[in-house]
Amino acid sequence: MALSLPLFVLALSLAVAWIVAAVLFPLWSEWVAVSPRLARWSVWVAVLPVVVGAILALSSVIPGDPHLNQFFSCHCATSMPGWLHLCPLHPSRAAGLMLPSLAVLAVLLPGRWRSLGAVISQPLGHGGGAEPTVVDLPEPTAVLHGWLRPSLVVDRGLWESLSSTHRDALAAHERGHLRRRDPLTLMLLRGVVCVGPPSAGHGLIRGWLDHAEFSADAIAADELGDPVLVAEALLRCAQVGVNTRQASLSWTGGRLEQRIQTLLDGRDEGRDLRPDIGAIDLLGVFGLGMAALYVSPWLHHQVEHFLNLSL
Amino acid sequence: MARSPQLERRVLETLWQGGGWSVREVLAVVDGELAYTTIATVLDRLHAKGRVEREKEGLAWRYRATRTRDQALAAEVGRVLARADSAPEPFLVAFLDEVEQVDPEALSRLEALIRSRKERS
Repeated sequence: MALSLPLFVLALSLAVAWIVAAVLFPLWSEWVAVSPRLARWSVWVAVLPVVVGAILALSSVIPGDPHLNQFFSCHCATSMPGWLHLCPLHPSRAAGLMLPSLAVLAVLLPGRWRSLGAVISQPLGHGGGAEPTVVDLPEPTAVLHGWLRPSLVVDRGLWESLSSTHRDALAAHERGHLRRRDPLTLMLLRGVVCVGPPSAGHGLIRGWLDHAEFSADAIAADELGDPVLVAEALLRCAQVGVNTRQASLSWTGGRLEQRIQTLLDGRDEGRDLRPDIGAIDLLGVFGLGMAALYVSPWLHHQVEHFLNLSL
Repeated sequence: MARSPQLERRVLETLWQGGGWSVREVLAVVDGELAYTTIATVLDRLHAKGRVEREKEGLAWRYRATRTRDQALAAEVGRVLARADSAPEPFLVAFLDEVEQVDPEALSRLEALIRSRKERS
């Protein structure tokens, strides 16, 4: 069969990542709803389907380099130097997997590529951090604009209706997001969940965002030394939104009440003052990649046995 | 050479300082090592997008931004908010994003709660 091997490997890997994401993301969202503390690990969970897909890809495309034989007792390693030893070299016997894999590429993925494109095309931002830029916006809202060099942009109507202490609280909250590098994390999360079915990652992102909001509230409360101020600022913003009868951003989770109660009660809702993607997380992903590399020859043989392609 | 969107941004930042600018003046501020034609192309592209206007002065063009920095930022954030409304997943970090879910009664209850907490402390 003259189908391209890279296409097969890509399709199979993405199909696996897709299935893992379809099962894992909704499950994880439910667990986070039960135990908000878990939300900190959402980044890891979001990456997992990609890693699993990558392991499969590695298991198929690892080069047949004789030097590898010192490390892996694998017949791939004794193939010609530089020759890619691939199970799918015998694709006629793997048609059972080939067809659904290609279907993933042809039918399911274009929408996801578009989503990924939408994530990538988001503005980098103009910098300025939590120093507010007050402008006329279509909604009474305050947002961190830009994922790499965020700037705090506040609607003029909202800003003018806040007292100076409430403005301080708002800025402190946004500084909390900046300290945690939340705009960057959100962008990465959105990019990674694109491997899964549409909407599968919605709950995961929503759960993480709640966690980020609670954490930024906690940081603001610590910074100002008065959680009531932050609660008041939240309430004031909500009142302005209701009074102007303008619906704000529509992915809502209805967490205002819970956020204010948490601030007033001094409860810990799994808040985390550190960035959710730090050096340790990156090291972890690197370790996961190395582990994937290590197990790929073993997995390669399992796949071969599964496809009845053992040589 | 800097990536084009970044270069566009730097050129706009220059124009946002106000007044009319020739290509050579923009070049001197942005990066004197870039080619004259690079800046001219960027300005031409910005003009095509409606981000800058220009008028002839002698043989050369003078460019000025059509909007102030704040106006441009407001338009950009407005576009992002419009996209956010129809996006399946959240893609902004906003101070408060659930206004529409809150009914006035709940707001009154929360206000009373905060007031009582302040009185107690």
